[in-house]
Amino acid sequence: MKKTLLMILSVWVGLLSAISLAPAALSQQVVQYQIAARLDPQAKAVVGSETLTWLNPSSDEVRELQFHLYLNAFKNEKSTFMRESGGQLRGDQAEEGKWGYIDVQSIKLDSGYDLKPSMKFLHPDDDNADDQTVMVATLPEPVRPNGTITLKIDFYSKLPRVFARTGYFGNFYMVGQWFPKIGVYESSGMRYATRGQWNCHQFHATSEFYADYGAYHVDLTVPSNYVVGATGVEQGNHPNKDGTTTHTFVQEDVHDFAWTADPTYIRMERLFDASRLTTAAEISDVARLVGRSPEDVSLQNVRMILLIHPEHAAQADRHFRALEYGLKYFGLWYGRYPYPTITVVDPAYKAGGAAGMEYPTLFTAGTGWLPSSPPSGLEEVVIHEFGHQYWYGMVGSNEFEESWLDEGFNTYSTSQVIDTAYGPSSLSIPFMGIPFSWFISSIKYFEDTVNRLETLGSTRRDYIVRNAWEYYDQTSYGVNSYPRTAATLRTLQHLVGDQTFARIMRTYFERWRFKHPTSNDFRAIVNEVAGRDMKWFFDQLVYSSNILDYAVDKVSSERPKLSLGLFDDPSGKRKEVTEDDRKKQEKEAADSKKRNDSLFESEVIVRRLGGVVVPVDVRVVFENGEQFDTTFDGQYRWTRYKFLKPTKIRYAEVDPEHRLLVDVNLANNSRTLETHHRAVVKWTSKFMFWIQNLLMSLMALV
Amino acid sequence: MTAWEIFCQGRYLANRTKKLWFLLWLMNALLAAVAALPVFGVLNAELKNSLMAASLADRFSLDFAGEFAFKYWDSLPSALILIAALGMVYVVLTLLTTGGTLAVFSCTERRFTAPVFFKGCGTYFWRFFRLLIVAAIFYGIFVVALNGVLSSLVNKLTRPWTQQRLVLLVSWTRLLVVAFVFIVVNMVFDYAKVRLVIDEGRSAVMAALRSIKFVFRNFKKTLAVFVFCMLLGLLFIVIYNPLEHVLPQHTRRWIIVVFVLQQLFILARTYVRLTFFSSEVLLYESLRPSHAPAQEAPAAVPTTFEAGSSPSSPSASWTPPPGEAPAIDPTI
Ligand SMILES: [Zn+2]
Repeated sequence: MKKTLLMILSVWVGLLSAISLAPAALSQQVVQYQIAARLDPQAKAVVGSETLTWLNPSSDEVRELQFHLYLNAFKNEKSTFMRESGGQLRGDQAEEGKWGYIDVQSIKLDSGYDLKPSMKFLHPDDDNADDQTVMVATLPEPVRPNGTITLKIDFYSKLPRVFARTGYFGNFYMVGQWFPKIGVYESSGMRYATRGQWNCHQFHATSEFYADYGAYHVDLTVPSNYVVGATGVEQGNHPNKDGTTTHTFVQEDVHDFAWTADPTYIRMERLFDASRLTTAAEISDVARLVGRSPEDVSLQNVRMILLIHPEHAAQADRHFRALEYGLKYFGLWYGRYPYPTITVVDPAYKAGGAAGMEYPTLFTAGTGWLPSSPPSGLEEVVIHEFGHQYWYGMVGSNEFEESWLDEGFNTYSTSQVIDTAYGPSSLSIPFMGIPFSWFISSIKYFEDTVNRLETLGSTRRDYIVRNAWEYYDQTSYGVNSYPRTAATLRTLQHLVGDQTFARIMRTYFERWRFKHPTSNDFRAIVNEVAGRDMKWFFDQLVYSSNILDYAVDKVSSERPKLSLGLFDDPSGKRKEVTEDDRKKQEKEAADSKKRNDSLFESEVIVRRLGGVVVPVDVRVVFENGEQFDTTFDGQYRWTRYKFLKPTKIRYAEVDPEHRLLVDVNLANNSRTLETHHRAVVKWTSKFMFWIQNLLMSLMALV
Repeated sequence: MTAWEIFCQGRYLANRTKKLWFLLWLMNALLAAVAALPVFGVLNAELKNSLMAASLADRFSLDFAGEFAFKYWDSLPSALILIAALGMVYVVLTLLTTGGTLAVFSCTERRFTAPVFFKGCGTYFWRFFRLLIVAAIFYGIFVVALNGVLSSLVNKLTRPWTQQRLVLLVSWTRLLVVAFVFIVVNMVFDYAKVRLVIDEGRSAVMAALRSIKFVFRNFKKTLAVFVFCMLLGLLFIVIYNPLEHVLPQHTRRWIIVVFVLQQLFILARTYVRLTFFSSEVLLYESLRPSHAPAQEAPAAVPTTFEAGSSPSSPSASWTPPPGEAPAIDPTI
């Protein structure tokens, strides 16, 4: 053990000197983790020792250190995570008796000073004294501004049976949130901090993570028959005498480290060949769109590693293809993927709780034995989890406090990639594991539609931006953080224009990669790039629960009626217009010869039914093909348009280009003068036919 | 007689009772129309003046469907209650008409006449009602409970399994077993009804128990007749579905054509249900314990049957008239 440690130390020193010779790091290296961990398959545990060097990035003297002990969320039913989730996450039930926890066995400064006596648990988010997911240790002396401190921590991580991202199932191990991880020290003015303070939230059912960037050097010792994958690049591995092998992984400019091991993995590796997978035309098109040079936009090669279970081996191509699309489009649109590797992990069957989770340079996908035709959940998960390399991976927003900046931005980006790369998806509802899209061509849809529809139900309960654990419920967290954000960003894209929005997203990525932006930082970039103040948009659609609904309330076109009564002509003569005169006039107007000359008084009323006030395009189309386009500012609840034309209105429509994706009612966006019964009859008869069949089936039972 | 011969003759009998088809179709269509009426009202209010109607006439719109579901989500319970109430009315009507249907198929003329049909409706209603309660218990025990037990067994068995393929194979097997048991229970209660009509029994429980004996004693034949009828139903589905899929449905004319096609499909399902009953009546008559099996009593087989004339007596192996008789080949 001692020998191993010495060796690790020498590798670490070598690595540090290599780093100093290497090009400047992409991030401020606040943390340097050197971890040696050994998997104990019998105990389903990881025994680890961690040397952490922390750089105080602030101008404050820091007197205490705060750590996340995420695994303690699974320690018992009294943890905040378990209380909030009811023991459930993503539909997986936590198995009774399969708890997980992390024990900090020793925590010392490199001087040998023991911090353990000062160690205690904090619960900054709630009053749950039983929660042990945040730990604080008081230092004998403060860490000076820009000073560093090195700690040595021994820990024992008992893994839970997989149900919330991390754990084991059989011989499958997905090891995430597994080591004592230091929080983020935010100095006054950084993000929302008004004074220097630790940002170290408890682990909540709906929250994800937040951490500082740095370098990881991790030695993983596992039984030699296990196939291992981890964050970063595998620098080497060497067998030990006890039938285990130690794998060494290193990576800079990341804020987390996760790994996986399973003896049944099939390991495949392919190259993302940038020159083969992107054409010069594509690069110049994107360069023009985002306003950068083709060199800025061009991509670099990446080693793609897939760890897949034998049952899914036939789907390897689909995994790689989806990953290629992710690397390509995220890279072209926002900025190139800078790491040398990306590892896709296919979780074991029944370890679905570990599926669809992102870590730096490694993520878990998720498929079944019989997947639907592409693009299906398989592609969506691969692209989405890869997308997190950008949103939260490189642009390190605080997932605890502003989940829309990672999940929502990523849902938006994923949707764009899927629609661009694959076209519309097919609705597939599998029955007993069989995807019916194989047999019947089903309903096709674009991601915008799904994002919009998923948003309909829960808009009213919360604003988009909120602490992850403070949404009305888990559904509201999900809807607001994922599809509502995607639909809202798409609406913003339509309002500012595709090119401007592409530049907004690129600028946001370029400026905030390897940093910790807030919603305000994104808003500032929107204003800057769009060249106008979009506060109204954010106030109403991001920091509000109002709904957007415009409707055409009334459309009419009638011939003006002859007014009855006594009228004086210029000569002073008084003439009475009677009912008979009116009838005569109407008859004449109805006469086909004169029809073209007669005028119609037309009226359109547009209403704002929702609380969101957005300027909306209004289009009125007349029977002779004439078109009237205008904009209703929406300030008041309704507006009226009047026309006097020799033609009737055919229809009036608000938002004819469908730019306001978050409009909750599209059926009322238009109104025609003529009534249409075809669709009504068609779908009613279809419904009747379904009921008829239902009754026929009932007959067979009676 | 072979099961195929029974099935062919059953089809022939069902063919001859077009008034019955029409009656059963009308019953079905009217009830479904009651359910469809509120849907028509709501769709009409939503769409009659909306441009969305134009695109919806062409194709399904997920946008509209999702929006519609969201808007009327709160009305779903009332809609389901309405459908359940209609279902109950339909069950009562089916109890009535099944008596009439079986009376028609087992009467001397084996032809629809109003007196025979309506007398049958009235005579057997309460017996069938009692039988329905017994059937509900059987379905509850042998289908629902069995499914539950098998599910939990499968879950327990496959819990440590790490391959979805194996778990799915076991689940599919479970489904097949339950489907098979369902078919058997369904057959048992069909024959129990036939028995109540033909043997003029009164006890629903006895009818069910004897029917079990009958079905299992002649399992190959009862199952074969059932499977033939089921395949006939599948044939109509296989014909209808692709047709409905390829037909354009955006013009008024095509909407009417598809509506007619849908109603033809319901008529076809009615026909299949009638074929079930007629074949089961014929099979039961040919095999019932009190009568000698048809094959062993060639003397009882009348050779001809002329339309409009009555055979001298109901026979255990009634044969259609020459020329009208369907081709008979496979032997079960
Ligand atoms: Zn995500």
